[in-house]
Amino acid sequence: MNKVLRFVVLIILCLIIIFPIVNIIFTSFKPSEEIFQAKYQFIPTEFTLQWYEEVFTITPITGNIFNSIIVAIGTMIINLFAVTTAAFSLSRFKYPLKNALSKITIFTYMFPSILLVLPLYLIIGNLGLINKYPGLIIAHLTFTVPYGIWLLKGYMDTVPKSIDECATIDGAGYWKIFTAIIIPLSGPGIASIMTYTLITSWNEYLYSSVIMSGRNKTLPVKIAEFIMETSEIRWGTVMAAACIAMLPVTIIFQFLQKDFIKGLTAGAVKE
Amino acid sequence: MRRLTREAKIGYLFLLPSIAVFLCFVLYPFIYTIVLSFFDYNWFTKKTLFNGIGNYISLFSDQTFWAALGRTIFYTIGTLAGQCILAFGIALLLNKEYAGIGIIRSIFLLPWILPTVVTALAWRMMLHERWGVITYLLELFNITDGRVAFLADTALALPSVMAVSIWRGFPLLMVSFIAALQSVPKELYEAAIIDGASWFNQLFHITLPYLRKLIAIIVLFRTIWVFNDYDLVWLMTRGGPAFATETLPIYVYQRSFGAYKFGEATSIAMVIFFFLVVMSGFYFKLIEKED
Repeated sequence: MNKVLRFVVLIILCLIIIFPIVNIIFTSFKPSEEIFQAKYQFIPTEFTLQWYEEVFTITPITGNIFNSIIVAIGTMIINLFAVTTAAFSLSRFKYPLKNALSKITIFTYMFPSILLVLPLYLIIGNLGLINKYPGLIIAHLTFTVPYGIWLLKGYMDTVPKSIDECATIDGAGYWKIFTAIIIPLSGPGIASIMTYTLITSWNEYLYSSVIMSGRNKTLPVKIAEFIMETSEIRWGTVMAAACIAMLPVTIIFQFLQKDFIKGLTAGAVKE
Repeated sequence: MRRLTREAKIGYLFLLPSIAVFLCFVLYPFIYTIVLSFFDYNWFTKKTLFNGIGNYISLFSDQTFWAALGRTIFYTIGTLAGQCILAFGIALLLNKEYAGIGIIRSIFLLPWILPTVVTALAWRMMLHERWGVITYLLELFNITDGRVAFLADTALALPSVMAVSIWRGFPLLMVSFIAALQSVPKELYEAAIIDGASWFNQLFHITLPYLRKLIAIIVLFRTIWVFNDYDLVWLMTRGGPAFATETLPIYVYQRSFGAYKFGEATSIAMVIFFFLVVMSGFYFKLIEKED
């Protein structure tokens, strides 16, 4: 196909695909009259910050943002510990059942949350962790850990084994090899699982909606409440909240995109 | 019994944290699901009665269940077909090096990293009967007679949600397809180019046959995801109007957190699990052949 034509088609497709997102951003700056009018107005003729003021004063979401941050960072830290150790083990050690364990990891990653949500809710309830941060962090770990292990094991396999063999000869123990060699050399892989964990935990809805309530709602649950529990949606407020919700993931993603894609495709294309 | 070597012991030790998460919060809840599906669990009295396969019998004789299953299959096939076509098309366009390709690719990826709630919101706004841009444009160009309430119409609600699902899910497939396309050896094309084969012929006689298995693996993986899609459907329509978008995951949710019929809910979950086992069986088989 012609190169110029190709490029033009791509640009047009790009604009169509990105339109819903741009539309949210513009709508969040439109005054009431421009949102609620039959004739559609794409670019606001008059910019207003009233909806952003509202989400921080009248219907504050600051607490929900805070909850989401705590859960995402908590999940990321615990996830990092569980994933790096497991990936190191699967990549470097020889022991019985290793192949089965690798398969279980992938199978667990496929396990849909709708299958686990009810029993997990009951178990977290028995632990007294409903409506508490650790309760939701546990729920998020059920999908971030298997994915992370799968991805990072693949990455660690690419770090040459000869390096740790040299270290062993020099008298380094397993823990030393793990912390001083494998972790630093798996930097991009680790960065990509951190990105993945932060983004998915921040975005997650099902577990959050079941486990968190009242003041502890995470941001997605709060936004869902705006659109689900009122008959007439206050679009302006909701759009401002949506912009705030998508801002951090977009930034983190741009920042670490390359490693992220590399990891993703490693996972999706090859075991 | 064979004694474990020191290496094996330390290896298991490193696995301990993740195994603990798996045993306590994946395997145990899953066994809990199996057990519950044979019981009649009353949330209010906290009484549990053994019900044998009673939950399954009532489930399989329930019209609502079969309707939900039918919708789920329709939703899965339609969404996947749409995602594949869009993703493969864009992947073909992106599979060449030129300036700015990185930026374009990252724009195409955006729909996939948004929180689902934001996606649902964006499209509910655009499909709004009175203020939405889509309904406005369709009326403006006389494609529809007046403004259509897409999400309130029993015939249009599910296809509308599928369209949104296509938009949201295609980027992941696209990235995988780009990686797959780049794995095709360049030499394969050389002879074809000398013979003057058209771009179209190259696609159908070289690229697609070569990537057949890889594409199957990628698509299988996505099937599991789309089949179990709860968030998007729920946030767009809550399974309505009049059950028009009630897919199996929505049905599980309604039975558990709407009706508190945990026994029934878990028996539906087991049907979903059966599907997962079948699909992952195919997946592992393909992966093994690929290696």
